[in-house]
Amino acid sequence: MSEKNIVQFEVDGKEVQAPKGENLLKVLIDQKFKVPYYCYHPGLSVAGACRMCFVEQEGVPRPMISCNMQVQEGMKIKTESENLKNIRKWNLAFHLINHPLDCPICDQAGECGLQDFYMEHGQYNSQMQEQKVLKRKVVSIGDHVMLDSERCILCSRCVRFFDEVPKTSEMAIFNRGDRSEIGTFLDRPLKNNYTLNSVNICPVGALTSKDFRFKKRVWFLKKLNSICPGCSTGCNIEVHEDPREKQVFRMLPRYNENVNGHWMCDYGAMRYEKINPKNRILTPKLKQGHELVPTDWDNAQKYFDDAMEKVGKDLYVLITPQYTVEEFEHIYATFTQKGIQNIFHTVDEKNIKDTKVIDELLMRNDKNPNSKGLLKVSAAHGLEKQNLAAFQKELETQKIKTLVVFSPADPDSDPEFMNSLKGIEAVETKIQLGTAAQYETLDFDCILPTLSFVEKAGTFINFNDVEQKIEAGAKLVEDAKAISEILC
Amino acid sequence: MLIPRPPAYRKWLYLRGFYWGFYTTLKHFTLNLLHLRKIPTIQYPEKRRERSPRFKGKHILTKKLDGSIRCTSCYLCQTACPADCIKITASEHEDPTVEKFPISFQIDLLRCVMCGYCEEACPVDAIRMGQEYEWADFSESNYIMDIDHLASRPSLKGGVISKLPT
Ligand code: SF4
Ligand code: SF4
Ligand code: SF4
Ligand code: SF4
Ligand code: FES
Repeated sequence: MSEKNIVQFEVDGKEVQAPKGENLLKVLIDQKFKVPYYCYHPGLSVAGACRMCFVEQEGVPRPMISCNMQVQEGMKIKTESENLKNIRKWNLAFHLINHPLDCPICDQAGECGLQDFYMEHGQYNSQMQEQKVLKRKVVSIGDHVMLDSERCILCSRCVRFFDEVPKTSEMAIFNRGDRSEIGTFLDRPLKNNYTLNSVNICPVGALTSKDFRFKKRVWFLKKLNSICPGCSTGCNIEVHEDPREKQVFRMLPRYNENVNGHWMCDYGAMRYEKINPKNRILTPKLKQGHELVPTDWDNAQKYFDDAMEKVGKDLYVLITPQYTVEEFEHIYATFTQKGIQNIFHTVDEKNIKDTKVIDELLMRNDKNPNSKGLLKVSAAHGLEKQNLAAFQKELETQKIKTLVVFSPADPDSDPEFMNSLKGIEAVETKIQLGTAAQYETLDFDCILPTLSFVEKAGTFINFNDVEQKIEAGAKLVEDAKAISEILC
Repeated sequence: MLIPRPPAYRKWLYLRGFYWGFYTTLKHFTLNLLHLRKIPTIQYPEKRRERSPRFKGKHILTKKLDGSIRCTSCYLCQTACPADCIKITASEHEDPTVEKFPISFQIDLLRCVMCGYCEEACPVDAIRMGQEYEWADFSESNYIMDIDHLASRPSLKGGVISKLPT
């Protein structure tokens, strides 16, 4: 950015630089000044509804709301003063006049704007003598969202969100004065793929997630930065898990200007269910007669190694694009070193060329997080031509003796996966490495549990060739092993 | 290095302390044996000491006037507990004015350090420390108290009702 477009001004005596025309409140938030606010959201238009973000400017007689100001060269801003303190305190009192103070049963507690700013700027005793206005509680609006209109502070973030982001305009504020109530028209369910974002941006507990409801208090959760495994867009996310309970509880979007902005889709946000132990392969299993019997790693590893030994170069490998680049590299390197060339991938070239979004905003046709990564690694080994169609042809010829399948971590990404393996019964030894309990079928002789995307570090490459890192959290399945440990 | 030895007679000085201690022990023994003074020992379990009302004994989950459990399962006691011995599972209540209630509430008495932080943390007077302190048992698993035991064990005679407004 050229010098001309940068303005310099002063906040609380500190020099601050920002691009010309930038929203003042955004700059203040980014620079970690403590200005309370509810209605402003960097991804939405300005409403000026909550009146919390007042600051003072030198030379201007009255305080002004900073979310509605632009930065100007040489302006002198004050974010702390006796007057501002008073404004914030009594403004908050207004917000709380009819607020039910449900904190003990409210899922927002712990990350609630009202709680945070009350502790910072409020701390008064209520002077209201009137009865609180009661509104509706526990109203279901849509598959993912629960509304409690009593808790709403009418900041209109959700209204603007549905107006501006998925552009479905499903929510509105009805009535006037202290009867104002947030809701959907006639309580119609929200029907789009982005409803959970409204839960995330609601500064209070008026909109809560039906799925996360009452499962966990937020202060027990550990956060790790990751990438959504739901599709090839590769939205940046925060995974919230409880390492002691070995459960992931939710996934929230993380800001990345170039990929997903502030948002992620509902389909993606629900992907966490697939990696919790109840949907996972928990132990290595070997087929005995007509049953898959749990066994220990020594046995399973021995079975695996013996099978590798026996078949030598005639091994067939099938890889799905649901693993990290590092894992692909390890898999290709280990097998090609042994002279094995029959490594096939299931990347659907037609699908990845089609990069149009298929819903309101972000989701893409290719439901794999790392198709580009798999293509890249297979190309590096000159094996990019060996795709699913080629593999199916080989299956039909019935010459495959031993097959190793790296199955999809998320069965929803490829519901037809098992069908695409038609003819697998004829293969003598079929080994699966994977995570999804759904694929614990008798089609395989040996099943080995591997790590899911929250348990390992690595790289996903999205549809647009952006390489993004995922972070490793706690191990959720005790017996799962990294691919690099199994193949060596 | 040269360490100077203490003079030899010092060795015998401990005898003075020894006889003094011996004398004290004997004195108390005789006085107590002959009941020559009032001693604080009581004949437990025939006699029991009176405890102050703020004694921290076995936990009680209080009830509302209608007899249902007061706890809203806010998890504040579980958060405050330094011994990590409370385990709550919340669920949706069919009555929207109640909304959230515990379907399970367990306290592991063996881990509990009887600090009373849980009682302190509770915003709705749903958990209290009671007066009971005799809970010897044969099996460790018997020390995990479930919601029924906490709210309606026989010794509570139907449970403790908290009259604070809900
Ligand atoms: S429901 Fe939440 S986001 Fe919507 S207006 Fe109310 S407080 Fe704001
Ligand atoms: S658009 Fe794709 S990457 Fe983004 S949240 Fe949805 S499923 Fe995940
Ligand atoms: S008394 Fe202390 S240790 Fe025992 S359950 Fe309560 S908070 Fe935990
Ligand atoms: S603090 Fe009180 S209301 Fe909250 S979970 Fe514990 S006993 Fe229940
Ligand atoms: S954030 Fe400025 S008025 Fe709400």
